[in-house]
Amino acid sequence: MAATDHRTGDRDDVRDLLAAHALDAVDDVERARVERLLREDPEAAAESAGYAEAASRMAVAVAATPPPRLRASVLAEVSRTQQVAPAPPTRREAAADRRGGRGAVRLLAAACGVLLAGCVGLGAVVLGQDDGSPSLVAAGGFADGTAALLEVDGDYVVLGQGVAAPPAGRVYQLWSLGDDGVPVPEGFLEPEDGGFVGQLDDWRDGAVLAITEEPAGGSEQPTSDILATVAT
Amino acid sequence: MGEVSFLRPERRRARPGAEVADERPEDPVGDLLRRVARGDERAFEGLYDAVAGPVHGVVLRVLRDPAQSEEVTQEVMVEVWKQAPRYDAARGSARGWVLTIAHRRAVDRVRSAQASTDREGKVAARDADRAFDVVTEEVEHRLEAEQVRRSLDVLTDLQRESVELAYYGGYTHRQVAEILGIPLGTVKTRLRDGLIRLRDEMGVVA
Repeated sequence: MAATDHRTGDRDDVRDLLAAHALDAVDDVERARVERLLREDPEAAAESAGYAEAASRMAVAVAATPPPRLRASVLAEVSRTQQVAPAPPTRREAAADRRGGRGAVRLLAAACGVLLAGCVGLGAVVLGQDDGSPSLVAAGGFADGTAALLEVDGDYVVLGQGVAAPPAGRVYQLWSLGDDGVPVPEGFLEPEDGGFVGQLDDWRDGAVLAITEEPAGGSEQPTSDILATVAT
Repeated sequence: MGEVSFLRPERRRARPGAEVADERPEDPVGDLLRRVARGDERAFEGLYDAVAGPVHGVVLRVLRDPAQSEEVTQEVMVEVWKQAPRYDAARGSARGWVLTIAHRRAVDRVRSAQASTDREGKVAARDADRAFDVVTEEVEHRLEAEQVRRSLDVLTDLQRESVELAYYGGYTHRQVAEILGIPLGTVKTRLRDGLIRLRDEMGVVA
Protein backbone atom coordinates (compact mmCIF):
# COMPACT_ATOMS: atom_id res chain seq x y z
CA MET A 1 0.00 0.00 0.00
CA ALA A 2 1.47 3.34 -1.07
CA ALA A 3 2.52 5.54 1.80
CA THR A 4 1.09 8.58 -0.01
CA ASP A 5 -2.31 7.00 0.12
CA HIS A 6 -2.22 6.44 3.82
CA ARG A 7 -5.62 7.83 4.69
CA THR A 8 -7.53 6.03 2.00
CA GLY A 9 -5.67 2.87 2.83
CA ASP A 10 -6.58 3.19 6.46
CA ARG A 11 -10.20 3.68 5.55
CA ASP A 12 -10.14 0.61 3.34
CA ASP A 13 -8.66 -1.39 6.20
CA VAL A 14 -11.49 -0.34 8.46
CA ARG A 15 -13.99 -1.03 5.73
CA ASP A 16 -12.63 -4.55 5.46
CA LEU A 17 -13.76 -5.05 9.04
CA LEU A 18 -17.44 -4.26 8.49
CA ALA A 19 -18.50 -7.91 8.32
CA ALA A 20 -16.35 -8.90 11.30
CA HIS A 21 -17.82 -5.95 13.20
CA ALA A 22 -21.38 -7.09 12.42
CA LEU A 23 -20.44 -10.46 13.94
CA ASP A 24 -18.84 -8.74 16.96
CA ALA A 25 -15.61 -10.41 15.89
CA VAL A 26 -13.48 -7.30 16.39
CA ASP A 27 -11.57 -6.03 19.40
CA ASP A 28 -12.43 -2.78 21.17
CA VAL A 29 -10.03 -0.64 19.17
CA GLU A 30 -11.28 -2.01 15.87
CA ARG A 31 -14.85 -1.56 17.00
CA ALA A 32 -14.26 2.10 17.77
CA ARG A 33 -12.66 2.63 14.37
CA VAL A 34 -15.50 0.91 12.54
CA GLU A 35 -18.12 2.83 14.44
CA ARG A 36 -16.45 6.09 13.55
CA LEU A 37 -16.47 5.08 9.89
CA LEU A 38 -20.17 4.24 10.15
CA ARG A 39 -20.93 7.73 11.47
CA GLU A 40 -18.98 9.37 8.67
CA ASP A 41 -19.72 7.19 5.68
CA PRO A 42 -23.36 6.49 4.75
CA GLU A 43 -22.34 3.88 2.21
CA ALA A 44 -20.41 1.94 4.82
CA ALA A 45 -23.35 2.31 7.21
CA ALA A 46 -25.72 0.84 4.63
CA GLU A 47 -23.35 -2.05 3.97
CA SER A 48 -23.01 -2.66 7.68
CA ALA A 49 -26.78 -2.64 8.17
CA GLY A 50 -27.12 -5.45 5.63
CA TYR A 51 -24.48 -7.50 7.46
CA ALA A 52 -26.20 -6.89 10.79
CA GLU A 53 -29.50 -8.20 9.42
CA ALA A 54 -27.74 -11.25 8.06
CA ALA A 55 -26.01 -11.84 11.39
CA SER A 56 -29.26 -11.52 13.31
CA ARG A 57 -30.66 -14.41 11.29
CA MET A 58 -28.04 -16.58 12.88
CA ALA A 59 -29.56 -15.75 16.23
CA VAL A 60 -33.00 -16.76 14.96
CA ALA A 61 -31.52 -20.06 13.80
CA VAL A 62 -30.66 -21.02 17.38
CA ALA A 63 -33.73 -19.56 19.10
CA ALA A 64 -34.39 -21.16 22.49
CA THR A 65 -37.28 -20.25 24.74
CA PRO A 66 -36.04 -18.99 28.10
CA PRO A 67 -37.56 -20.41 31.31
CA PRO A 68 -41.01 -18.88 32.02
CA ARG A 69 -39.84 -17.42 35.35
CA LEU A 70 -37.48 -15.16 33.44
CA ARG A 71 -40.39 -13.37 31.78
CA ALA A 72 -41.92 -12.38 35.11
CA SER A 73 -38.54 -11.35 36.41
CA VAL A 74 -37.81 -9.16 33.37
CA LEU A 75 -41.25 -7.54 33.43
CA ALA A 76 -40.86 -6.77 37.13
CA GLU A 77 -37.48 -5.15 36.57
CA VAL A 78 -38.77 -3.21 33.58
CA SER A 79 -41.66 -1.75 35.55
CA ARG A 80 -39.19 -0.10 37.92
CA THR A 81 -36.64 0.91 35.27
CA GLN A 82 -36.52 4.36 33.71
CA GLN A 83 -36.06 4.63 29.95
CA VAL A 84 -33.45 6.89 28.38
CA ALA A 85 -34.50 10.13 26.69
CA PRO A 86 -34.99 9.96 22.93
CA ALA A 87 -31.96 10.92 20.83
CA PRO A 88 -31.84 14.53 19.61
CA PRO A 89 -33.00 15.00 15.99
CA THR A 90 -30.59 13.44 13.55
CA ARG A 91 -28.85 15.30 10.78
CA ARG A 92 -31.16 13.57 8.37
CA GLU A 93 -34.27 14.91 10.00
CA ALA A 94 -32.78 18.38 10.26
CA ALA A 95 -31.92 18.25 6.57
CA ALA A 96 -35.41 17.09 5.71
CA ASP A 97 -36.73 20.03 7.66
CA ARG A 98 -34.63 22.46 5.66
CA ARG A 99 -35.54 20.89 2.38
CA GLY A 100 -39.19 20.48 3.05
CA GLY A 101 -39.48 23.89 4.66
CA ARG A 102 -42.24 22.57 6.85
CA GLY A 103 -42.05 21.35 10.39
CA ALA A 104 -44.62 18.77 9.44
CA VAL A 105 -42.12 17.01 7.24
CA ARG A 106 -39.68 16.67 10.09
CA LEU A 107 -42.36 15.24 12.31
CA LEU A 108 -43.42 12.91 9.57
CA ALA A 109 -39.87 11.81 9.04
CA ALA A 110 -39.68 10.88 12.68
CA ALA A 111 -43.05 9.15 12.67
CA CYS A 112 -42.50 7.43 9.38
CA GLY A 113 -38.98 6.36 10.19
CA VAL A 114 -40.58 4.25 12.84
CA LEU A 115 -43.48 3.31 10.65
CA LEU A 116 -41.16 2.14 7.95
CA ALA A 117 -39.55 -0.37 10.28
CA GLY A 118 -42.94 -1.98 10.46
CA CYS A 119 -43.31 -1.82 6.70
CA VAL A 120 -40.12 -3.62 5.90
CA GLY A 121 -40.94 -7.03 4.61
CA LEU A 122 -44.60 -6.45 4.74
CA GLY A 123 -45.39 -4.51 1.67
CA ALA A 124 -48.68 -3.90 3.37
CA VAL A 125 -49.28 -2.29 6.69
CA VAL A 126 -51.68 0.47 7.17
CA LEU A 127 -51.43 2.47 10.31
CA GLY A 128 -53.54 5.24 8.84
CA GLN A 129 -56.62 6.62 10.41
CA ASP A 130 -58.83 9.28 8.97
CA ASP A 131 -57.57 12.05 11.16
CA GLY A 132 -54.32 13.16 9.61
CA SER A 133 -52.07 10.28 10.59
CA PRO A 134 -50.12 8.90 7.66
CA SER A 135 -51.37 5.91 5.74
CA LEU A 136 -49.11 3.75 3.66
CA VAL A 137 -49.86 3.74 -0.05
CA ALA A 138 -47.10 1.40 -1.09
CA ALA A 139 -43.72 0.13 0.02
CA GLY A 140 -41.08 -1.99 -1.58
CA GLY A 141 -37.44 -2.57 -2.32
CA PHE A 142 -35.50 0.29 -3.85
CA ALA A 143 -31.75 0.61 -4.42
CA ASP A 144 -30.74 -2.01 -1.85
CA GLY A 145 -33.13 -0.53 0.70
CA THR A 146 -36.79 0.15 1.18
CA ALA A 147 -38.92 3.01 -0.02
CA ALA A 148 -42.46 3.89 0.89
CA LEU A 149 -45.09 6.34 -0.21
CA LEU A 150 -47.42 7.69 2.43
CA GLU A 151 -50.49 9.83 2.24
CA VAL A 152 -51.38 12.41 4.83
CA ASP A 153 -54.59 14.35 4.30
CA GLY A 154 -54.23 14.19 0.55
CA ASP A 155 -50.52 15.12 0.59
CA TYR A 156 -47.95 12.52 -0.39
CA VAL A 157 -44.64 11.89 1.28
CA VAL A 158 -42.01 9.55 -0.09
CA LEU A 159 -39.40 8.10 2.22
CA GLY A 160 -36.79 5.44 2.33
CA GLN A 161 -34.26 3.69 4.46
CA GLY A 162 -31.15 1.66 3.81
CA VAL A 163 -31.06 3.09 0.30
CA ALA A 164 -27.76 3.01 -1.58
CA ALA A 165 -26.60 6.49 -2.58
CA PRO A 166 -26.56 7.09 -6.35
CA PRO A 167 -23.09 6.96 -7.95
CA ALA A 168 -21.00 10.14 -7.68
CA GLY A 169 -22.37 12.90 -9.89
CA ARG A 170 -25.80 11.27 -10.13
CA VAL A 171 -29.07 11.93 -8.31
CA TYR A 172 -32.37 10.18 -7.88
CA GLN A 173 -35.03 12.23 -9.61
CA LEU A 174 -38.77 11.95 -9.06
CA TRP A 175 -41.33 12.21 -11.82
CA SER A 176 -45.07 12.22 -12.04
CA LEU A 177 -46.65 10.46 -14.97
CA GLY A 178 -50.13 11.69 -15.78
CA ASP A 179 -52.67 10.15 -18.11
CA ASP A 180 -50.81 11.57 -21.10
CA GLY A 181 -47.73 9.65 -19.96
CA VAL A 182 -45.55 12.77 -20.12
CA PRO A 183 -43.09 12.76 -17.20
CA VAL A 184 -43.07 15.93 -15.13
CA PRO A 185 -40.03 16.52 -12.88
CA GLU A 186 -40.99 16.47 -9.21
CA GLY A 187 -37.71 17.04 -7.41
CA PHE A 188 -35.04 14.80 -6.01
CA LEU A 189 -34.44 12.17 -3.39
CA GLU A 190 -31.25 12.72 -1.46
CA PRO A 191 -30.42 9.75 0.73
CA GLU A 192 -28.47 10.63 3.85
CA ASP A 193 -27.28 7.68 5.88
CA GLY A 194 -29.44 5.63 3.55
CA GLY A 195 -32.62 7.49 4.47
CA PHE A 196 -34.61 10.10 2.63
CA VAL A 197 -37.87 11.90 2.99
CA GLY A 198 -39.55 14.24 0.54
CA GLN A 199 -42.93 15.84 0.25
CA LEU A 200 -44.71 15.86 -3.10
CA ASP A 201 -46.37 19.24 -3.36
CA ASP A 202 -49.60 19.69 -5.31
CA TRP A 203 -49.61 16.07 -6.34
CA ARG A 204 -52.13 15.21 -9.03
CA ASP A 205 -54.18 12.42 -7.54
CA GLY A 206 -53.97 9.30 -9.63
CA ALA A 207 -50.63 10.18 -11.19
CA VAL A 208 -47.90 7.55 -11.21
CA LEU A 209 -44.73 8.35 -9.27
CA ALA A 210 -41.52 7.24 -10.96
CA ILE A 211 -37.88 7.41 -9.89
CA THR A 212 -34.89 7.53 -12.21
CA GLU A 213 -31.20 8.16 -11.79
CA GLU A 214 -30.04 11.35 -13.49
CA PRO A 215 -26.89 13.46 -13.76
CA ALA A 216 -26.44 15.89 -10.84
CA GLY A 217 -28.75 18.86 -11.27
CA GLY A 218 -31.42 16.66 -12.77
CA SER A 219 -32.87 16.30 -16.25
CA GLU A 220 -35.88 17.72 -18.03
CA GLN A 221 -36.76 14.27 -19.33
CA PRO A 222 -35.77 10.93 -17.82
CA THR A 223 -32.51 9.73 -19.33
CA SER A 224 -32.25 6.39 -17.49
CA ASP A 225 -34.45 3.41 -16.96
CA ILE A 226 -37.19 3.85 -14.41
CA LEU A 227 -35.96 2.37 -11.13
CA ALA A 228 -39.29 2.31 -9.36
CA THR A 229 -42.88 3.25 -9.98
CA VAL A 230 -45.88 3.52 -7.75
CA ALA A 231 -49.46 4.41 -8.59
CA THR A 232 -51.33 6.83 -6.36
CA MET B 1 -29.46 -1.78 -10.26
CA GLY B 2 -32.35 -3.62 -11.85
CA GLU B 3 -35.82 -2.37 -12.32
CA VAL B 4 -37.67 -2.47 -9.06
CA SER B 5 -41.30 -1.68 -8.57
CA PHE B 6 -42.98 -0.73 -5.40
CA LEU B 7 -45.30 -3.44 -4.27
CA ARG B 8 -48.81 -2.24 -4.19
CA PRO B 9 -50.41 -3.49 -1.02
CA GLU B 10 -54.01 -4.23 -0.52
CA ARG B 11 -55.44 -1.25 1.23
CA ARG B 12 -56.26 -2.27 4.73
CA ARG B 13 -57.34 0.05 7.46
CA ALA B 14 -56.16 -0.61 10.95
CA ARG B 15 -58.79 -0.19 13.59
CA PRO B 16 -58.14 2.42 16.23
CA GLY B 17 -56.38 0.73 19.12
CA ALA B 18 -56.32 -2.56 17.23
CA GLU B 19 -53.80 -5.07 18.48
CA VAL B 20 -51.34 -5.18 15.67
CA ALA B 21 -49.99 -8.49 16.89
CA ASP B 22 -53.42 -10.05 16.41
CA GLU B 23 -53.34 -9.26 12.73
CA ARG B 24 -50.19 -11.28 12.32
CA PRO B 25 -48.26 -8.99 10.06
CA GLU B 26 -44.95 -10.47 9.03
CA ASP B 27 -42.90 -8.24 11.27
CA PRO B 28 -44.78 -6.88 14.25
CA VAL B 29 -41.56 -6.24 16.12
CA GLY B 30 -40.95 -2.75 14.76
CA ASP B 31 -44.41 -1.63 15.74
CA LEU B 32 -44.06 -3.09 19.22
CA LEU B 33 -40.72 -1.41 19.70
CA ARG B 34 -42.20 1.91 18.62
CA ARG B 35 -44.80 1.55 21.35
CA VAL B 36 -42.23 0.40 23.87
CA ALA B 37 -40.28 3.58 23.06
CA ARG B 38 -43.23 5.51 24.45
CA GLY B 39 -43.11 3.59 27.70
CA ASP B 40 -45.87 1.07 26.86
CA GLU B 41 -45.29 -1.88 29.19
CA ARG B 42 -47.95 -4.02 27.55
CA ALA B 43 -46.23 -3.60 24.23
CA PHE B 44 -43.03 -4.64 25.97
CA GLU B 45 -44.67 -7.92 26.95
CA GLY B 46 -45.45 -8.50 23.29
CA LEU B 47 -41.92 -7.55 22.34
CA TYR B 48 -40.54 -9.94 24.95
CA ASP B 49 -42.60 -12.78 23.53
CA ALA B 50 -41.50 -11.93 20.01
CA VAL B 51 -37.76 -11.72 20.61
CA ALA B 52 -36.92 -13.58 23.83
CA GLY B 53 -36.44 -16.86 21.92
CA PRO B 54 -33.74 -15.64 19.54
CA VAL B 55 -32.22 -13.44 22.27
CA HIS B 56 -31.93 -16.29 24.75
CA GLY B 57 -30.89 -18.69 22.01
CA VAL B 58 -27.95 -16.61 20.88
CA VAL B 59 -26.88 -15.77 24.42
CA LEU B 60 -26.99 -19.45 25.36
CA ARG B 61 -25.13 -20.38 22.24
CA VAL B 62 -22.30 -17.96 22.95
CA LEU B 63 -22.09 -18.44 26.73
CA ARG B 64 -23.01 -22.14 26.94
CA ASP B 65 -23.94 -21.79 30.56
CA PRO B 66 -27.69 -21.82 31.31
CA ALA B 67 -27.53 -19.86 34.56
CA GLN B 68 -25.29 -17.13 33.17
CA SER B 69 -27.35 -17.05 30.01
CA GLU B 70 -30.54 -16.37 31.92
CA GLU B 71 -28.84 -13.52 33.68
CA VAL B 72 -27.57 -12.02 30.43
CA THR B 73 -30.92 -12.52 28.65
CA GLN B 74 -32.55 -10.56 31.46
CA GLU B 75 -29.93 -7.80 31.18
CA VAL B 76 -30.46 -7.63 27.43
CA MET B 77 -34.24 -7.38 27.68
CA VAL B 78 -34.04 -4.66 30.31
CA GLU B 79 -31.50 -2.83 28.15
CA VAL B 80 -33.90 -3.05 25.20
CA TRP B 81 -36.59 -1.44 27.34
CA LYS B 82 -34.23 1.31 28.47
CA GLN B 83 -32.78 2.08 25.06
CA ALA B 84 -36.00 1.72 23.03
CA PRO B 85 -36.45 5.52 22.66
CA ARG B 86 -33.06 5.63 20.93
CA TYR B 87 -33.86 2.98 18.35
CA ASP B 88 -33.41 4.46 14.88
CA ALA B 89 -35.38 2.60 12.23
CA ALA B 90 -33.15 4.03 9.52
CA ARG B 91 -30.30 1.90 10.83
CA GLY B 92 -32.01 -1.44 10.53
CA SER B 93 -34.89 -3.64 11.60
CA ALA B 94 -36.16 -3.69 15.16
CA ARG B 95 -35.40 -7.35 15.63
CA GLY B 96 -31.92 -6.86 14.22
CA TRP B 97 -31.37 -4.04 16.69
CA VAL B 98 -32.44 -6.19 19.63
CA LEU B 99 -30.32 -9.14 18.52
CA THR B 100 -27.30 -6.91 18.00
CA ILE B 101 -27.60 -5.83 21.64
CA ALA B 102 -28.01 -9.46 22.74
CA HIS B 103 -25.04 -10.78 20.81
CA ARG B 104 -22.80 -7.90 21.85
CA ARG B 105 -23.67 -8.39 25.49
CA ALA B 106 -23.03 -12.15 25.33
CA VAL B 107 -19.71 -11.67 23.59
CA ASP B 108 -18.64 -9.00 26.06
CA ARG B 109 -19.43 -11.41 28.88
CA VAL B 110 -17.54 -14.31 27.34
CA ARG B 111 -14.52 -12.13 26.62
CA SER B 112 -14.33 -10.63 30.08
CA ALA B 113 -14.55 -14.16 31.49
CA GLN B 114 -11.78 -15.14 29.14
CA ALA B 115 -9.68 -12.16 30.16
CA SER B 116 -10.00 -13.06 33.81
CA THR B 117 -8.82 -16.63 33.25
CA ASP B 118 -5.91 -17.79 31.18
CA ARG B 119 -6.74 -16.06 27.96
CA GLU B 120 -4.21 -17.61 25.64
CA GLY B 121 -4.65 -21.14 26.88
CA LYS B 122 -8.38 -20.77 26.80
CA VAL B 123 -8.53 -19.97 23.11
CA ALA B 124 -6.67 -23.12 22.25
CA ALA B 125 -8.68 -25.20 24.70
CA ARG B 126 -12.03 -24.17 23.33
CA ASP B 127 -12.43 -26.67 20.60
CA ALA B 128 -13.45 -25.26 17.25
CA ASP B 129 -15.96 -28.06 16.89
CA ARG B 130 -17.91 -26.74 19.81
CA ALA B 131 -19.24 -24.02 17.61
CA PHE B 132 -21.02 -26.54 15.47
CA ASP B 133 -23.17 -28.55 17.82
CA VAL B 134 -26.59 -27.05 17.74
CA VAL B 135 -28.15 -26.27 21.06
CA THR B 136 -31.85 -26.23 20.54
CA GLU B 137 -34.12 -26.40 23.51
CA GLU B 138 -37.80 -25.66 23.55
CA VAL B 139 -37.94 -23.55 20.44
CA GLU B 140 -40.99 -21.44 20.13
CA HIS B 141 -40.05 -20.17 16.71
CA ARG B 142 -39.09 -23.65 15.62
CA LEU B 143 -40.41 -23.34 12.10
CA GLU B 144 -38.71 -20.07 11.44
CA ALA B 145 -35.55 -21.26 13.08
CA GLU B 146 -35.63 -24.31 10.85
CA GLN B 147 -36.07 -22.15 7.76
CA VAL B 148 -33.23 -19.93 8.82
CA ARG B 149 -30.99 -22.90 9.53
CA ARG B 150 -31.68 -24.13 6.04
CA SER B 151 -30.83 -20.69 4.66
CA LEU B 152 -27.42 -21.02 6.35
CA ASP B 153 -26.80 -23.79 3.84
CA VAL B 154 -26.07 -21.14 1.22
CA LEU B 155 -22.69 -20.75 2.91
CA THR B 156 -19.77 -22.80 1.73
CA ASP B 157 -18.31 -25.05 4.44
CA LEU B 158 -15.32 -22.76 4.79
CA GLN B 159 -17.44 -19.64 5.10
CA ARG B 160 -19.70 -21.33 7.56
CA GLU B 161 -16.82 -22.48 9.71
CA SER B 162 -15.45 -18.94 10.07
CA VAL B 163 -18.84 -17.26 10.43
CA GLU B 164 -19.97 -19.70 13.12
CA LEU B 165 -16.72 -19.49 15.07
CA ALA B 166 -17.06 -15.71 15.04
CA TYR B 167 -20.77 -15.41 15.76
CA TYR B 168 -21.59 -18.46 17.86
CA GLY B 169 -18.11 -18.93 19.26
CA GLY B 170 -17.67 -15.28 20.17
CA TYR B 171 -14.14 -15.25 18.78
CA THR B 172 -12.51 -12.24 17.17
CA HIS B 173 -11.39 -12.54 13.57
CA ARG B 174 -7.82 -12.80 14.85
CA GLN B 175 -8.74 -15.71 17.08
CA VAL B 176 -10.61 -17.39 14.23
CA ALA B 177 -7.48 -17.12 12.09
CA GLU B 178 -5.43 -18.57 14.94
CA ILE B 179 -7.82 -21.47 15.56
CA LEU B 180 -8.07 -22.38 11.90
CA GLY B 181 -4.41 -21.64 11.16
CA ILE B 182 -5.24 -19.46 8.17
CA PRO B 183 -4.23 -15.89 7.28
CA LEU B 184 -6.22 -13.01 8.74
CA GLY B 185 -7.11 -11.71 5.28
CA THR B 186 -8.66 -15.05 4.43
CA VAL B 187 -10.84 -14.95 7.54
CA LYS B 188 -12.02 -11.42 6.74
CA THR B 189 -12.90 -12.49 3.22
CA ARG B 190 -14.80 -15.57 4.39
CA LEU B 191 -16.74 -13.56 6.96
CA ARG B 192 -17.62 -10.90 4.43
CA ASP B 193 -18.55 -13.26 1.60
CA GLY B 194 -20.54 -15.40 4.03
CA LEU B 195 -22.59 -12.49 5.28
CA ILE B 196 -23.14 -11.25 1.74
CA ARG B 197 -24.53 -14.66 0.81
CA LEU B 198 -26.79 -14.71 3.83
CA ARG B 199 -27.91 -11.17 3.18
CA ASP B 200 -28.68 -11.87 -0.47
CA GLU B 201 -30.47 -15.06 0.47
CA MET B 202 -32.72 -13.06 2.77
CA GLY B 203 -33.56 -10.55 0.05
CA VAL B 204 -33.63 -6.82 0.37
CA VAL B 205 -36.62 -6.67 2.61
CA ALA B 206 -36.02 -9.01 5.48
